[in-house]
Amino acid sequence: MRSLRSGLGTFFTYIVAFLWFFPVLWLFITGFKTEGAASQFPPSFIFQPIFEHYHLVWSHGALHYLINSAEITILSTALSLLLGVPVAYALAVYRLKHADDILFWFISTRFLPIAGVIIPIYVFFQSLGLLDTQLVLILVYAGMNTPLVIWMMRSFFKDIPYDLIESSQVDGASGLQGFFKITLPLVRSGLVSTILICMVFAWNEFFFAITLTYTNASTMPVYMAQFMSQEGLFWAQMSAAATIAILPVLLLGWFSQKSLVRGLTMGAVKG
Amino acid sequence: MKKLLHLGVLAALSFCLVLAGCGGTSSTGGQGEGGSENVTLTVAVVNNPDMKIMEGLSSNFEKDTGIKLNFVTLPENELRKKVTEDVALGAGKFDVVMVSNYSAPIWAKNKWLEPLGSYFDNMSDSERKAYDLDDIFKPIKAGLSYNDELYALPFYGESSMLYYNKEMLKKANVEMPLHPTWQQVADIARKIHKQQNVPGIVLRGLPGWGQILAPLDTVINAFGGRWYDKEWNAKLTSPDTKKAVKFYVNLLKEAGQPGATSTGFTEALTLMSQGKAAMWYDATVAAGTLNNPDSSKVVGKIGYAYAPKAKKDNNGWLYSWALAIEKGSKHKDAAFKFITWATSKDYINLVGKEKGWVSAPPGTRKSTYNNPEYQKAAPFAKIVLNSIKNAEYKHPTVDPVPYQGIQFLAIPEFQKLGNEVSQQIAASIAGKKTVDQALQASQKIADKVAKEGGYKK
Amino acid sequence: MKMDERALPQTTLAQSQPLKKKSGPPVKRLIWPGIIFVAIMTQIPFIVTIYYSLQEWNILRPAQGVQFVGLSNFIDALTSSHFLHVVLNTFILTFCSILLCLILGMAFALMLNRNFFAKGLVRTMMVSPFFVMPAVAGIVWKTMVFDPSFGFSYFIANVTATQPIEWLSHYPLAAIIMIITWQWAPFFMLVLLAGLQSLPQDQLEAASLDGASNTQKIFYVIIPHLFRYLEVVTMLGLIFILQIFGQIYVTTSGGPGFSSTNLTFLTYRDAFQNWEIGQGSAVGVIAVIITLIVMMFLFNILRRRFKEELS
Repeated sequence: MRSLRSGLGTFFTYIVAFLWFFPVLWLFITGFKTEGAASQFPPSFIFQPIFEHYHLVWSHGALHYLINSAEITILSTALSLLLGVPVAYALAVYRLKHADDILFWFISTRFLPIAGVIIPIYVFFQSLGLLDTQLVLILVYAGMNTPLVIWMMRSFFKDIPYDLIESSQVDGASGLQGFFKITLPLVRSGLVSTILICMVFAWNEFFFAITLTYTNASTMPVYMAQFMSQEGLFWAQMSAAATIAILPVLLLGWFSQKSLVRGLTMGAVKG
Repeated sequence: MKKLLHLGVLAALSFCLVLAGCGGTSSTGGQGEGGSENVTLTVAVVNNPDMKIMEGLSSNFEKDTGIKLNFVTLPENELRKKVTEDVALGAGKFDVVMVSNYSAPIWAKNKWLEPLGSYFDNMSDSERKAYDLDDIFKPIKAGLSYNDELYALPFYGESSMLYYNKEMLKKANVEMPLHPTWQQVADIARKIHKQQNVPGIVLRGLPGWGQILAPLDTVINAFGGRWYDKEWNAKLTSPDTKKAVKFYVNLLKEAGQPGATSTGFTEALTLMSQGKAAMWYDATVAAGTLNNPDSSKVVGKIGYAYAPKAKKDNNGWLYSWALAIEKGSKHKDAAFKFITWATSKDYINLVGKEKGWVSAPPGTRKSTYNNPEYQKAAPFAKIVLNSIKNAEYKHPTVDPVPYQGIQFLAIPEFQKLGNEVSQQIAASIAGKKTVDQALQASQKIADKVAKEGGYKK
Repeated sequence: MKMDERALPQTTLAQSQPLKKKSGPPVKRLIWPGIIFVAIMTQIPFIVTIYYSLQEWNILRPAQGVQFVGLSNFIDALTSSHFLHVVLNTFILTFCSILLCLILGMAFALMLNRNFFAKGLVRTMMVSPFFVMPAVAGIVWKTMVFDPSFGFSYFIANVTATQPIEWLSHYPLAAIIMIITWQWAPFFMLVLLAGLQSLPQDQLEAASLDGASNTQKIFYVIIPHLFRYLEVVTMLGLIFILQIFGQIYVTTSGGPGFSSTNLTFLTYRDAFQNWEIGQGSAVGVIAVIITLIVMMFLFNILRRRFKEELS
């Protein structure tokens, strides 16, 4: 009886997982269809796969955009860690007068609707002659992600056993050494979760990317946009482009999800 | 808290001053001229099928001239936003931009585009003869001019017409005249919808000034309605306008496609090309795609008719996508070379030979329509030709109006006005409002725009 | 130093007294770079936005110039007939999405917190939507699910012999909530799963020994333990879902009418569809103020909670 019930539960889980995943799966499949077959209804499940769209998308300079995306994502994440982790550490470890206010201020910076601040940002970077450089997006994404880093890392630091931090500070070694040798490894899985979330948002961001870049520094979502046509039937081509665009971050997510769960567990995510 | 506020305001003001200072001085910072060789042009184009072909063939141009091309290809909305920012905020990163006959005169007036007259004067006689400016349709050229000066060269031009699925009409035992009235079209649509349970007609319902309003405006014109009278008093609640909008909305509701408020040009094209609809009233450029066996299931089954009439005839719209040179470009001569290449007879021939004549950019040159190969490949050529020739861009309505433009009003505020009004109409299609309520709200918006724009004295 | 993370003495920073500040300077050195950077990247543009919001500036009419108009942009925004509608949309959108994400996320987490074959694969499949670009998610749903002529909507109508539901025309807000839930429920699931896995097994056993039923266990043991996780995931979800833009942009463009426009999208409509920078900035500022008020309220609740725990 009991095993039957659990078997049913498992079966149900499989079905739900399949349904949830289906749109993504369908995107993959459609990329291998001809445009005609892609907009056909009822959809065909058995068809001659073609690689034309992937080939076309790839030969259309996707690599340039992928490299931009990768560099911008990595560097902006690194920058936001560099700036955010110390703040998080300070907020978690030291007794500060306005710790809560500082934290709230950081989080509140995330409430600005991007459309409301984009023009000042555009004008600002234009006056510095930085439009269409990777630096612009690195800075902007770091600005966007630093508050997240602070908020998440703070809760992980708070979970570190008290004695350890103290010993890391009392030991003759310089504070920095203690931090890297003792403290940081303790929050490793938390750090991985934080990095992953920063990377996902930097990779997928569209509005800043399309506004602040032209060709040199454009990222994958901008590249995607040219396949999201309002004038023509490019559903299959769009699917191929979308697959290429989401695959890197999807793989990253798949491989690190265990860390993600572990990271979130150990943090016990303290408010 | 209050202190903080004061501080903030102060900081804001001082920052703005600094910003204004920066903005003034930094615009001259060039990145080095470079000789006429080794020039790279940044070109902003919309991502429709014709432009994709152009990108594919542009290596020919690069080989011949040594000029490099960097394409920024975006959907129409993003393109318009991006290019507007680039010119209006003075970044000037694009050399060549794609503009429509809606934006060209407005941007020319704002001094964002380079006038082309002097460049044509500097051409050698043989070059000028080869380009043959007189070969380009007059109404198209007029739409791209401001104060009688040409500011952009047309890549393709379009009007609007009615497509119908011959098989479905035959099954319903009806015949489509070459010059139908809207009433005839509506009757046929209702009949087929009832009989065959397919959309009798597909019409755009997606909000946006370039979406639903394009066909709807031509219906308003046909029924004798208008947006404004001569003194810029809004006329959206006048009986004729109301009748037209009610006609459009009811036709969509009773015999149109389901989910109409998310049907834009692409969705409509998909329905028609998959043989899922009996009729479609839209842009003439769609004919190329409907006749392309790669994506269409109705090749050879489509019939064509002129834009339907009511009180008024000749209701086809006039639209063109054209290439212009940005005022801030540092490589204007190279840019001119490129735009004359992409809009030349030679280019059209190149596309005809490489991609088939049905894909040749339509609606710009007489020579294309005199070409027997094009006539053979495009059975709709004559309707397109006549629709463009007869389009009444300067006098679009029955009663006189203070604006030009058929499926749009050629004023900068129309983007706002059109978007807001189109949302109101969409709400009435979705049944969230009555047509009367939607038009009343639209009337208010139109009045406000006329006042704020300084049109209404 | 080769101690296991978990084998350590269980006095953590959160439970003990935070360290007294040893010396002033290091703390400042740690905090200031972050504050300055974030301030430059977000606050200065915001201040400029406030400045713009007091101007009348139509980008397409450079001849009209930029004029100071005081608070009239704010008055226009607040008195316009659609404003309340948009604020209400924002709340409905955010509230329903988060509620659905919580319910589904919890359900998924419970489903996955058991042992069965191919568990890793199943979890992988379920989290995938979270990594999809918002605009792509919107397009996929629009074409695949909601389209009444080609999508599932048509398919289901065919099977049940009814008229297809026109989601994007008639229930645009619900449609967008579905897309958001599809993307965010997996994230909620991950966090809650983490919470479930950190649940001390002995508590559950004790509850079983006391004869608690499964539902009782969920309500009296599991949910109280998960409270913190729920709070955190709600907060994170709130930050992002309040700002939803891409999904609306590619599916409904905020329509029909204003029925799926949220505050973020209204800012976009005013600034980039109408090119009224002043008006758009004013809406942006109002959006920030409303959000801040709501968040301050929530944050206070949070703070009160964990102050209690500290004492």
